[in-house]
Amino acid sequence: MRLNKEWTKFSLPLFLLAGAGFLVIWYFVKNPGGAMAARILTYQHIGWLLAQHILMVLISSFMAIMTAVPLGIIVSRPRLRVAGVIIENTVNIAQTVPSIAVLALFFTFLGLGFSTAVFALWLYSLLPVLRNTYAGMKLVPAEIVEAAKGMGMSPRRVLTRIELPLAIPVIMAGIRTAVVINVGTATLATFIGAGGLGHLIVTGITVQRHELLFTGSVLSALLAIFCDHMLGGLESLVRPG
Amino acid sequence: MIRLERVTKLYAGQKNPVVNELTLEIPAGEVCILLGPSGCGKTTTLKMINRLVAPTSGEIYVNGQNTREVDPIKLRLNIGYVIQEIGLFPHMTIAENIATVPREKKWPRDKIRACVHEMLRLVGLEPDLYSERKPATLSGGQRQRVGVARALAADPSILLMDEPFGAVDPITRSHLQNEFLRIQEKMRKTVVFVTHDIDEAIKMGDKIAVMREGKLVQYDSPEKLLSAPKDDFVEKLVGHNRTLKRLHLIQVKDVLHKETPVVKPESSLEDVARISSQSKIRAVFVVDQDRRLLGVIPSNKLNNWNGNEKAADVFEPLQNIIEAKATLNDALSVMLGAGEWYVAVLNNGSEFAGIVTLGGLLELVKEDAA
Amino acid sequence: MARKIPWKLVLVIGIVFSMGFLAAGCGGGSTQTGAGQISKWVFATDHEFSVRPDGLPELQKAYDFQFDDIRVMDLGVTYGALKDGEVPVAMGFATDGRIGAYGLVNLEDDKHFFPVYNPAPVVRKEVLDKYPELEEILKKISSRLDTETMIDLNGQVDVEGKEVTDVAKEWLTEEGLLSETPPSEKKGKIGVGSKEFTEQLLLGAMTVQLLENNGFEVEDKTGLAGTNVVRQALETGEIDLYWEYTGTAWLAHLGHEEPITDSQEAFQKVKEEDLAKNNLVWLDYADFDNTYTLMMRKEDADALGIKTISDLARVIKED
Ligand SMILES: Nc1ncnc2c1ncn2[C@@H]1O[C@H](COP(=O)(O)OP(=O)(O)O)[C@@H](O)[C@H]1O
Ligand SMILES: [Mg+2]
Repeated sequence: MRLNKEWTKFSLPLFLLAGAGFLVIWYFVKNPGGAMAARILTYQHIGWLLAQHILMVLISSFMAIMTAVPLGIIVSRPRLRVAGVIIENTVNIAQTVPSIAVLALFFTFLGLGFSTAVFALWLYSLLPVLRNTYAGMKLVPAEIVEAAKGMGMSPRRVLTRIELPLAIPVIMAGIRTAVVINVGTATLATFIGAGGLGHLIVTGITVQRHELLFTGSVLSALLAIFCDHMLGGLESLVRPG
Repeated sequence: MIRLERVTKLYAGQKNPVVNELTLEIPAGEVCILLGPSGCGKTTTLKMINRLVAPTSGEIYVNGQNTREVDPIKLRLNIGYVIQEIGLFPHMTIAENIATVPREKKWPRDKIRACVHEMLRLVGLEPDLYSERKPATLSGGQRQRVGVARALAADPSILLMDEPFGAVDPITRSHLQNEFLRIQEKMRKTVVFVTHDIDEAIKMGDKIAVMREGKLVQYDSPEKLLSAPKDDFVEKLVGHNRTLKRLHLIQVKDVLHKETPVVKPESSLEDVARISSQSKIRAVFVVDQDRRLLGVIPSNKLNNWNGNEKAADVFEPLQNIIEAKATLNDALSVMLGAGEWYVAVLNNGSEFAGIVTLGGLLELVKEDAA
Repeated sequence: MARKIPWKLVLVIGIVFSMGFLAAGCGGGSTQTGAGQISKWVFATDHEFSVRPDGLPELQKAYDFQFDDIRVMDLGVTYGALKDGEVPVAMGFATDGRIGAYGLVNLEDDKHFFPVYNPAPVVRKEVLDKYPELEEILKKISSRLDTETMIDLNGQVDVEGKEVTDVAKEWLTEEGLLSETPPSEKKGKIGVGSKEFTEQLLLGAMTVQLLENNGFEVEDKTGLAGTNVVRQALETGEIDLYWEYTGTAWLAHLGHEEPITDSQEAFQKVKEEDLAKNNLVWLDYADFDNTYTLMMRKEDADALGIKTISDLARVIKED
């Protein structure tokens, strides 16, 4: 019964967001506001762009988690203190590089297209995840770690049973930030021919069709909220207790 | 048994060792207090025993084994460790906290569950009420109890306690201390107990090691420490009212008033008056056949009744009660707190053992000072 | 602790997946295997061109062909994508410097599909009445520029990284337009504007330098911003002249819907209407057309014998 209630609390907003998304798509497919926009505003085309967008965000975020979390844990080890400080500062500086610049940089190395966009998104979302993992591990009170060690836990057990569970909320916050940033940044991918919802936005801007602009931005905003909420649910699943 | 031989700890980049040539032997089953001002190296000494800190030089033997030669993880699994309340794992339930070491030792689940229950009962927490709660929902005193329970869970022969009752109010602390003494009497662990509180040291310790700037100044029984402080430092630490401090050393059960007047509930008031008149104590205590204390009839109230009542009808409940394990100091504070001239002493929480009176206490102090 | 997450499994799958993607991503995808051998006719376009009525959809109708696939990207990216062989055909602007630098060729719009965008100096009538010699002076520039020249000049700035003013000065000198002894008496103040992209900056710089050389005191307001801002500056008298494209004026400023695809016709119509409505005079236009273009790599175009868009349409249909 309690589970049911929690499940509703988790899934209802997701359904509402998805519903709002469909409504937006449906409305603008019916009212594209001119022949030019109608060429783009079809279910098929929007669906394809949305799929590209989601795929980009999904792959890049997943890769970021897979790389940044282990790296953050490694550099948070006391014997790598120097590496930790270096990485922390590098990350903070790197974060100030605009995402479009990261995209452009990867474009010059990897050329056009989907995988380049994914790599740029990966690099860009690496940073919040890495930083939060590092910060989360550092935030675990030293006394607690010491108590665990003093009771005879091996370093590996201290990591998996004490430090990681306690750092999870901070790590998850980083992941959520990363994913939300990714959803937004992925709209730039269209500049290097990787598609995604940015196609609607940029086309809408260049040909001054607000229907396109609106559809693209609202869908990506809804997608961001959707992902954030979903990860929030996931967080309560992996959070200790 | 724990033995430290010329143990020194010098941190890199520091001029003076934190612990300096410390030699100490703690017999099995005794409570050894490490006492000294903040920063004198008590915690460091404790951590060297379970090798959280590696000594720069010197040897430490635990149960006859040199700690350098055993796997530190195995060593620690067999040494209970209690630190201030912060040491509980906030993300785990009380039960999970207590099960930490048994789990590391890969005990079967049933055994762990039974152990958790036993430990909770031991420290006076109802398992059904507390095992699934998180540390944050407990009071400071309850958390300390859990800390002790966690350290005792796998039944280690050695217990290291670093200011375990430091973060609670004085009344709770005194409670926890008494309870720990009760447990210790049963379990007879070898305990190294760090404190900077002289009262606590005197109350808890079989022996007290006074430390100063990493060095051992005096290692003696509490009595010896009070009566013959080795130097000015120890004397100052012990303080000027040493006599009063001795109250910490004496348990109430040892100084009970002889011949406390007691009556059964069914006794007539006549009997009560007779018994009262035969005693110097100005009250008569009502107990049932199991010697459970039901209440008290003050002598000066006897005249208020017409004489047909039974003892059961007229006794008053009483609050000034204390455990037999408590010290005279505790007894004194209960008396002063209740504004009474005596305190009733109970064995195991119910059986009436007798009373301690303010007069008796004064006698004792007079004797001592003489 | 009832919910157990198989961390190890997740980790292994994740790492394998990530590495796999990493490997796949580095491979890249090219549509070109050798000169003239094109496996798939993919067209690189910017967002605007992909949907505009005078863009890709109508172009394909007019020439009656269909690209196999379309990749939409930023305008600046299409040239590089074409150069790197990621696509065989791309759209761009006909005078972009990268066309020359990257070894690309413009395909001739043999059916005159694209609207024309010839640049011409537009001057406020009061100013021209005051200094009628402006017409002759500016004609020296417009008569000497063609598509090749403009590609080259744009390339010097965009690809080689030279300064706009230096390139302008060098070209004016080469063409012998700068006299060694500029007239000593000052003629008065002329405000020169331009939009903010390279070609406009070049045209602006040439104009500024040439006018100064002819004794005008020039107020340099080149690089203002987009079309609308510059146009407004001219209409309000904040500047006195700038180079505008016939097509832009016709569609954007004069508000017509139907583009014109003949240079002379466009110029005449714009000139008449702008004078009547806005008191602005269009001086002679330059013979290059900064309009949309379809480009290919030179070796591909040569190997396949493609010179015009009709050729391209034929080859695609044959494939
Ligand atoms: N890891 C460490 N590195 C350097 N100095 C330390 C370290 N741990 C403790 N100290 C120093 O050692 C001294 C003794 O500390 P400690 O044993 O914690 O004292 P106590 O427990 O008696 O208050 C203190 O001056 C403290 O600053
Ligand atoms: Mg300490």
